[in-house]
Amino acid sequence: MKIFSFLFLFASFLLYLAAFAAHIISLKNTQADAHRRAAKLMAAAFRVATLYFISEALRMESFLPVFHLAQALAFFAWSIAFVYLFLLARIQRDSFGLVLTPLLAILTGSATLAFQIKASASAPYPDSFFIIHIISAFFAYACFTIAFAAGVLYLIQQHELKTRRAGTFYHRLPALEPLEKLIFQPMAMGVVLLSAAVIVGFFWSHAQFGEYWLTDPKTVSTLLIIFAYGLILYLRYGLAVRGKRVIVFGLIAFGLMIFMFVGLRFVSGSHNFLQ
Amino acid sequence: MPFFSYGIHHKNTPVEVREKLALNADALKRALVLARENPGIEELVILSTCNRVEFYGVTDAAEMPERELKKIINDVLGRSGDECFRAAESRRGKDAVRHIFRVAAGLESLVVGENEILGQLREAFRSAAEAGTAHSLLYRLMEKALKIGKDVRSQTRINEGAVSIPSVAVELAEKIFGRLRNEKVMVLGTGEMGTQTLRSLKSSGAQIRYVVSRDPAAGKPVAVEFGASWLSMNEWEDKMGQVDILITSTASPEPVVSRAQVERVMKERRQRPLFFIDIAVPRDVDPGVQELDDVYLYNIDDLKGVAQSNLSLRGSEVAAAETMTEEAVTAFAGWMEQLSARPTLSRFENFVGNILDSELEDLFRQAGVNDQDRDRLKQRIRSQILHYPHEKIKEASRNGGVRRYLEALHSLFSLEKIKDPRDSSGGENKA
Repeated sequence: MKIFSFLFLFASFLLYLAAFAAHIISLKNTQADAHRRAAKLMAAAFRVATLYFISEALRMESFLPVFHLAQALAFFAWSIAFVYLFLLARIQRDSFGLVLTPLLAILTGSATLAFQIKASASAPYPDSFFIIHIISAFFAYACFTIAFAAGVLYLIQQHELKTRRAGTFYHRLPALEPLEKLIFQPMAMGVVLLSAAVIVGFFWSHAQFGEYWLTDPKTVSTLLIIFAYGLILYLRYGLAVRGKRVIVFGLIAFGLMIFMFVGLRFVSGSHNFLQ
Repeated sequence: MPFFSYGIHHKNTPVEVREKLALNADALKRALVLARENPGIEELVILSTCNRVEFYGVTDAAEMPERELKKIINDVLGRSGDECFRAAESRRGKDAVRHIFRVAAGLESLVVGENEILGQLREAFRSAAEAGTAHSLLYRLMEKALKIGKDVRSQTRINEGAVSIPSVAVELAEKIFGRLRNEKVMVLGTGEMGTQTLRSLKSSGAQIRYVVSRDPAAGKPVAVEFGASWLSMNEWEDKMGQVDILITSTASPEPVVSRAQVERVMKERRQRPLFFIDIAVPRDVDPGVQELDDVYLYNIDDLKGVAQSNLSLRGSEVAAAETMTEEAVTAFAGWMEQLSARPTLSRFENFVGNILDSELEDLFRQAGVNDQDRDRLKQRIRSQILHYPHEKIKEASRNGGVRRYLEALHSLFSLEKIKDPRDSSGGENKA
């Protein structure tokens, strides 16, 4: 069973890589439907990644097999693809895959490298609090990642318009206002989901360990991330601030989130994935 | 192939001549009626646009029906066909089909890939169908032409990007604001280009709010035309914060919009994007405005640059569009070849049927074979004999080699002596 998990994960990585290559080709391709092939490859990669989790769930006899680093990275990639392909299906844009697919390839590639053939199949049985906590946290990070990708595309398109060049990106990227929606809608969704993850996490820690993990480094950093994104949303919707600066703040907030996500691996103890 | 194309276009005839040949709806109808009554023309579609006057048709005559077509123009417009069609191009067979497909694909247009020609071709076809001058062959040809026109535009980027100043302005506005939905527009000055740009923006969904001019006599009619308010040159500054798109086309020798003004307005707007279209020469907007975040300033040269870049993009798609068009021409020619093979194949089937009837009938009767078994056996033998020739001819129709097989069938089996069973129904090539 374990070899199947590995093969699914590796195949998913290769498909994301192929989807990225197809997106690059579609930028210059004369056939207008070239991006559809890239989108199909991305959807195929997502399906294969789903098979990886089914295989892991059967092997570990767990509804949510997210215990090891490889699984966490793969689940992060899966969440991004899920949020983009399903939750944000209405506001999807062709050019988005160009930013998302390399990120998904890096995440699934890292998960493949971190995959341990000899890792234990035994895992603590996750209760419903834990499942909700993990799913909402990962979906929140996925939303922030999509907001980040849209922010990058916004700055590229803005640069094209500012430099007054009608280049490839000018033609291929969406307009600025629709891109703004793709930044702030997932960002708002992410703040709600991450807040829910923190609240449910409090209950879970109390139920499991008899105390609320209020001063835990990961909890504190997550609250900081919520505060940073909350502030940006207040600027956008509360004070109606628009344009480049508020979008740059969004990118900084994402950088902060990644910094904390990576940095905490070195300071946090029990509130972490198994190596 | 019995198809022909004949006519003039922007590449071979100047506008002074083309405009004399423009056919309005009534003239077009009369021309088609005359064509219907003309025995030298089997079918006809007339495409009359500002860039071309062309006849696409079917004739059984060996000669191109040039004289007939010129006479029609002479009768309808009272102009000498010889004079107006001096530079006309005429094409027959596959060349004519290729030309019609290229016209539909926008490859022969003044602005390569433009969409309007497809609608004009559809309209020309509809008029011909209504007048009774488009039947089975031309119907099929036009159907395929419209399809290739549509396919080329959906599968390549040949029609992508605006190429006129007003349409570039709309394209840029849509790149900033997305699909225009009541984005507010102000125009400073009432020049022709500014008014054209207003029309394009309005038809794309923008809302024209203010028309600003020194002279109310010039500005107020424009304001009325667009349902906007007229403002004097002293009033517009206070309203600048309310609009999303500002077009400037005044005759002022100095910039009318300064960087300080825009900086102040952007604070009021909380950085909501602001798009300046400066089509005045000398420029009306201080170029320093472009350095401000979320302000997009395009002067006339910038707009022309975008148009030029879009044209180059279209040019790079021409090869792909030509390949698609050529494939469609080959497929159509294959269909025509198959069609031309039908009378011979029918005769050959008849020939085989006659032999089976005459040679096996007595044998079946003597052997006491019932009618059902007899028919089934004859059908099987007939299918076995005809299968291979059918397949070969089908294959040859794809590369234009049908004639060789048809001649071989004719001479080997003396098919000219055999009656075509379809003759009684009048054949299917004619309407």
